[in-house]
Amino acid sequence: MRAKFDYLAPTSLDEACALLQEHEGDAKLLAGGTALVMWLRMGLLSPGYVIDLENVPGLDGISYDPADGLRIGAGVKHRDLEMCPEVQEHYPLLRETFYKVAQPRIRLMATVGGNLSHGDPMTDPGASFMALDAEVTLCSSRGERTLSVEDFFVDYYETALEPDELLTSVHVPPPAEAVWSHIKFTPRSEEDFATVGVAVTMTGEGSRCDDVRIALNSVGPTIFRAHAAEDVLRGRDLSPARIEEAGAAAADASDPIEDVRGSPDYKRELTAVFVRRALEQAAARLG
Amino acid sequence: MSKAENYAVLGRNFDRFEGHDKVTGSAAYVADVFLPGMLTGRILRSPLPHARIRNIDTSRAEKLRGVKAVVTAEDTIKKGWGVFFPDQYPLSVGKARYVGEEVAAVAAIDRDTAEEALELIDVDWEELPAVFDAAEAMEPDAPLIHEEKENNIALTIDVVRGDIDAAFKDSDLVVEDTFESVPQWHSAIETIGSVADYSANGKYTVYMNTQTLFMARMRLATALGVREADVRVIQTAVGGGFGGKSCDDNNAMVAAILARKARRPVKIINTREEEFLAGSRPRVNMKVWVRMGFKSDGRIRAKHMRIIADNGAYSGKAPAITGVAALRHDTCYKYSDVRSEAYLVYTNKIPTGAFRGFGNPSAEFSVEQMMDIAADELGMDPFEMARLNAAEEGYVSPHGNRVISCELRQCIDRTERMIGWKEKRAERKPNRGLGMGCTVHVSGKRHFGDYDGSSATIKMNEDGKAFILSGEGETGQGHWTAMCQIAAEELGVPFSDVAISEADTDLTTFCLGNYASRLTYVAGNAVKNAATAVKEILHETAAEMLECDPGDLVSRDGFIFVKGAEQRSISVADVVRGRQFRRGGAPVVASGSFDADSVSQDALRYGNESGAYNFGAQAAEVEVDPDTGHVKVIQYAVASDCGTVIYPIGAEGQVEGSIAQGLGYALIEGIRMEEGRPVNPNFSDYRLASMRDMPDLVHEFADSYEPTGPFGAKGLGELGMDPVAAIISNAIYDAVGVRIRTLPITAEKVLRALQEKKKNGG
Repeated sequence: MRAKFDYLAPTSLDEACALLQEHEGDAKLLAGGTALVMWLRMGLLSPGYVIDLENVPGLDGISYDPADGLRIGAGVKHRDLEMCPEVQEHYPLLRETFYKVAQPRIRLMATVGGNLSHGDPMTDPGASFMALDAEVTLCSSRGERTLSVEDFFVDYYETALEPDELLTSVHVPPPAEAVWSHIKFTPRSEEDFATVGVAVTMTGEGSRCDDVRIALNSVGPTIFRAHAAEDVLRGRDLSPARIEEAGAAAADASDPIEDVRGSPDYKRELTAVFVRRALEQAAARLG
Repeated sequence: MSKAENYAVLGRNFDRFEGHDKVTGSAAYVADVFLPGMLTGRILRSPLPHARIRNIDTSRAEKLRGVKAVVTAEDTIKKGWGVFFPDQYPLSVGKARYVGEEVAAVAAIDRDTAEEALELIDVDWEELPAVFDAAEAMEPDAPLIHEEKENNIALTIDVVRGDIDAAFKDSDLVVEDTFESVPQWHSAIETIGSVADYSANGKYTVYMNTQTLFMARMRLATALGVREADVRVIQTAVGGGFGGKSCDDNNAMVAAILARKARRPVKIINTREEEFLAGSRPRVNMKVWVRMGFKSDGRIRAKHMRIIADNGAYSGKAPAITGVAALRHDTCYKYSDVRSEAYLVYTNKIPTGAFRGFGNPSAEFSVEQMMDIAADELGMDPFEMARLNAAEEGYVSPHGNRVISCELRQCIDRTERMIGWKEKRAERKPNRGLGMGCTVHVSGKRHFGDYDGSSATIKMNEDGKAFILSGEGETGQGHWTAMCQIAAEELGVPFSDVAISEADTDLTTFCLGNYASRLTYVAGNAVKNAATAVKEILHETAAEMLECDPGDLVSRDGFIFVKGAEQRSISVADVVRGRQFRRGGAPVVASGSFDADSVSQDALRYGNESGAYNFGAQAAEVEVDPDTGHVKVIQYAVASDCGTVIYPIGAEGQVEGSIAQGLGYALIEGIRMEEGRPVNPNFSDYRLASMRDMPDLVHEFADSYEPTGPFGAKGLGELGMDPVAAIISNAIYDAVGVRIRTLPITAEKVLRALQEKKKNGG
């Protein structure tokens, strides 16, 4: 059976929030539609209402300010972020990450906010936003709040969004002197979801790591930060043994599922390998 | 391509005949067919792998507003149909044998109504024990899927040629191993669909995206209980076939049954999910045990192969596919002592069927690895061993396949050079490896009735343009363009002066359709013969008009000349008009036919199966990541012997497509089933090799001429697919010393094998 729902098309953020509140728990938001439409077709969702954000102004646009950082409207398409000159110049990790998502046909439709709100642990952007210490702004008729991306992901396809809330923007702090690395392991096809995804940002000098953030996707119920792995390195010398240890700590923190991309054991072993490799790549970029 | 240089039209690239329609989006695929009053049909499918139907109550569905017909087996003649074994029905009779089987169907004014009605059909199921593994299905206590088939065995092959025991005794090296392939799925961009209409005079008209038009008509007529001519099948544009649209499924049958009951046209387009379950039928999965004996100099002395093939719930073309897997590859190398055993076994899973390669990929995955294993044991270069054993002109295989043209050795030499075999083996890089293999395929196969032929009619228009009437159909591979080129070459007219008809069973002569790499060779010969006959008529009339002997005439560029006095010429258009517009005038039209010089295999499966054989060699260079098992294909080299190349860009497309599908088969693809249900029936979980995943691909066509082919041409479409998985496996072994015997060769399997090797001190 095809999904049956009422289609609503608000023309302002207030109206969208009011509709979400009115149909609390029985409405889904439609942005790029790359995830929602698939889920509706597969019968995994059967909302009474679909609220289309197409006509809601203020959700698009990317702005960059050296003091404030990067602000990304929730409705910005993956492809627009990937191609944005300021992003390419100041946030190469984001450019790299978004370039690796699926293929251009998907990236031209999928939105940044839609991707995060979906809470899919297999997608790539969340890990890189986490590694960059980004935060999201959530909005409802009750008001606005901001939350770190790390706290935004709660469980398997579950985010911190309340039923009456919608994600309006992402804020990434000004680019620090951090180096970065990103690995998306796709042994089946480059267009596949990651078997393991790793995003790393690091500050330091020579072989000393002052600070590091390691975020992973596809190897747990949520996209997550590997805190224990970071603690192995933070404020320490980046010896091969320590990098290896950090990889092992990240693998310990992973909790992958069995799927067509491999067994949990395999993905756990790969987590150690790719965290190690990502750290080696980042370390090599330290001045 | 020395011979091709003498041709005016052949061996040159033109815009594809139907290309403008396709690139502008105006080509009409089956989903674009709209008839007045047309309804949407939807199918109720079995949710259980094996279950008896106690009762079906359709009364609630029939009462739903907008529903125009609900059908079950009670609306059918309940007569089994199937190309080799009549073991399937358009709608389940008595029981369902796999998840996805068609049980009932609804035609309604729109899709939502039809789908709502499906939910109102009450089926009283009695679940039966099911069996999902082919070897288990052969056990004495296994549940029977078709009661009359003992041990669930649909087909047994056991042929012995020569003295196999003596040959193994005479061998210096004997190697044996077991390999398992995977049910690969065609993944054509367009799913199967049809629009069926039933007229008051009792005739069915069915628009289908099929690749075998007349076969579709034959099967529809059988299942509907009418004569062939009571069914008209019209081919729409086809969005990819690869064997999957060769009509072993029930989509069109159900549409026709609904149309008859509703007395209105009915369209059924499979959803992608339905297509995975019960649309194009995946490759027959095979477990292959092989033992081969070799002399110390590398010559093959004996071969014994035993195949267990997983049929799925119904047979379709799997009996022929199993036969190909058991026998075909013995045409590639020279030896005479062979035993081939094969068992085709029913299981409660998706029925399997034709897919590019037709059993040959499973066989080559096994045998081409055995060749590599033997070369390794003998300390021989695999290329040397291939050259030593390669088939050649005049070779007759142990099963009676007669090889006329054969440039396998040339292909081996070209491949060795293209991949840089010697240079790269001299300077080995860590974790990099090279593998090679050889391949053979047919140009048409005598499967169906005692006929492996084709026919075509060419009529000349009064403007001098030729029109080919052909029922073979275009599936997307460029067949129409190649046929126009062959006709233009033979008629001596420009390519732009030839057009070809859509395939329509009412308007064209009988054609078998698109399978077995047969069209260029078999249909090409028929078109050429038709053109020869038309040219004779043209020359007869031209001779009258030019007052000369017909034997002195030649045709070129749309004109007919007197040999040696070329100022005496007349345009083809003037000749056609001259013959038509006169007292006793007549059109210039002629038919041509061709039946390959092959025979139906006898009871012991001996006999030359095809008119011509295509050969090839391929090699790969891979890099294996020892920490993750990831296999990256760095370069892939292909040399193909397909005789004269008619339409180069189309031929290159066949090579590239074959390798893409072959790499998918080797490394990525496969339907995974749990309890008879596919767990990856979508393109997120079932991945294909994308453009970005393709390696650097280098390929060449052998300088080759097949005397029995049209202008020396033979088949190509499947050849490239067949050996790819073995070659990748051979290259992985060369790189890191582990051999993976089951497909797909996932990174995880490679990593586990590497860990195992390390544990054992490798």
